[in-house]
Amino acid sequence: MPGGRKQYGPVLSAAVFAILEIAAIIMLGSSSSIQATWLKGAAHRTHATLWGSGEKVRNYFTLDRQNRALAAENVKLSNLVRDFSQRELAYRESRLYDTLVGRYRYIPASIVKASRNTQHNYIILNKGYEDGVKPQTGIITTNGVVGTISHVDRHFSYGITLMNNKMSVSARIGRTGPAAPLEWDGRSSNGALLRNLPLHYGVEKGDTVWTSGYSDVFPPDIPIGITGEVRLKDGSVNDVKVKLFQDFAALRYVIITENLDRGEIASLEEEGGI
Amino acid sequence: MRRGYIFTFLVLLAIQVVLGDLLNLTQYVILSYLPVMIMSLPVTYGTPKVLIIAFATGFAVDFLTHGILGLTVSALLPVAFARNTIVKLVFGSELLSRQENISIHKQGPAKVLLGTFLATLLYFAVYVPVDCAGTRSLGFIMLRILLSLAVSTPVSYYVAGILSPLEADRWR
Repeated sequence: MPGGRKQYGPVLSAAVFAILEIAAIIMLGSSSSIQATWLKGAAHRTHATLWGSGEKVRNYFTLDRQNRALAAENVKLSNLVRDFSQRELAYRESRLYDTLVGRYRYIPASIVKASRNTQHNYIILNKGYEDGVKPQTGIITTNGVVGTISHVDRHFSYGITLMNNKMSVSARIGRTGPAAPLEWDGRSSNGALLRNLPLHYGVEKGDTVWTSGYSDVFPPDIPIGITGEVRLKDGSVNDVKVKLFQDFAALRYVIITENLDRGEIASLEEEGGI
Repeated sequence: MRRGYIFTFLVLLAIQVVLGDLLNLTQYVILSYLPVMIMSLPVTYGTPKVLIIAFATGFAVDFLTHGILGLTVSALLPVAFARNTIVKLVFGSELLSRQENISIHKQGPAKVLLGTFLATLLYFAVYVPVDCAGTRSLGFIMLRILLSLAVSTPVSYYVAGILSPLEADRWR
């Protein structure tokens, strides 16, 4: 019995303390209005804290259910976004599909795969010979030249981009300036060099560079970029840095260009022994 | 001896009532030795008994001094509840197991002073904020607690001396 008394001693003491303290607080509240107001405020604060804590605990235990609901909603939204982006792609392609402008035919395409980290970068497009794509046709965007198609399969085509040291595009500074080969600078995804410009032609920084139209691959007057620093090469010609409008790091949709007169031009070249 | 102790306790209580009613030092200082009276209650008294005595003591002071009823009670009850803890902390648990009472002669002035200080601090830590009831700044409350402690602790130590010789006699 004494052991039991000792065991329950602290509980009994705490209970007696609580009862007497509550009695004291009741007395305090009933004898002074200031203390009563203060005690009521303290009680409200305690009440709010306890309710707030309870709500937090309840929220914690429903997190699993909320997570599952959010994950389901996430999947639903992802599907919706995917659906919209496919519709947008189809819409873009339908707007541009098989357009004939002048003597060029334009086929819109999406990039399936592209490399950007080597000196011989390539691109694979989602259009093949079933879509009318032929080898030795150009790849452009509204921001400039991308590359040329070199191999065509049934549903896909392979091309080399301007970010390839084997690729060169005939370009000119301004609409009436001299034409010169434009090549990749080999370093950045939007840098190129316009090579071998005659010295007597003054180049201003910030001039627009266009496709010359002297190639049978790209249509003329496609804006490519703007001129930058001019460097004298071998004392006889200038090399001009060009900042391309099209950043290859942000490439997604392209347009395949086919010169409808290319066959005729090629046969003429053959006849001329070029 | 027991009757003498009770008589001394009641006289000290009466003096506290008179002091509380008549002695108004400043608004910053409260003179009270009630905590040490509770601490000096015989160790053989269990906590529930000490709590009831504290309740009755506090009620008597509140009622007789025309103060706020329940103010002293609410501050004195925590002292009574924490009495054993303070005793263990300051004097060691041997004092409780041997059921010795607190005595300046046996435990020494330093320990008694420390025990008095802690009990008085606990008392004012409840009394002053409840008395101010959110109408005063924290700075005022802290200053009032510190000044009341500075005044009440020496008086309380003296009161502990009055209450302890009764026990000291037993050990002679």
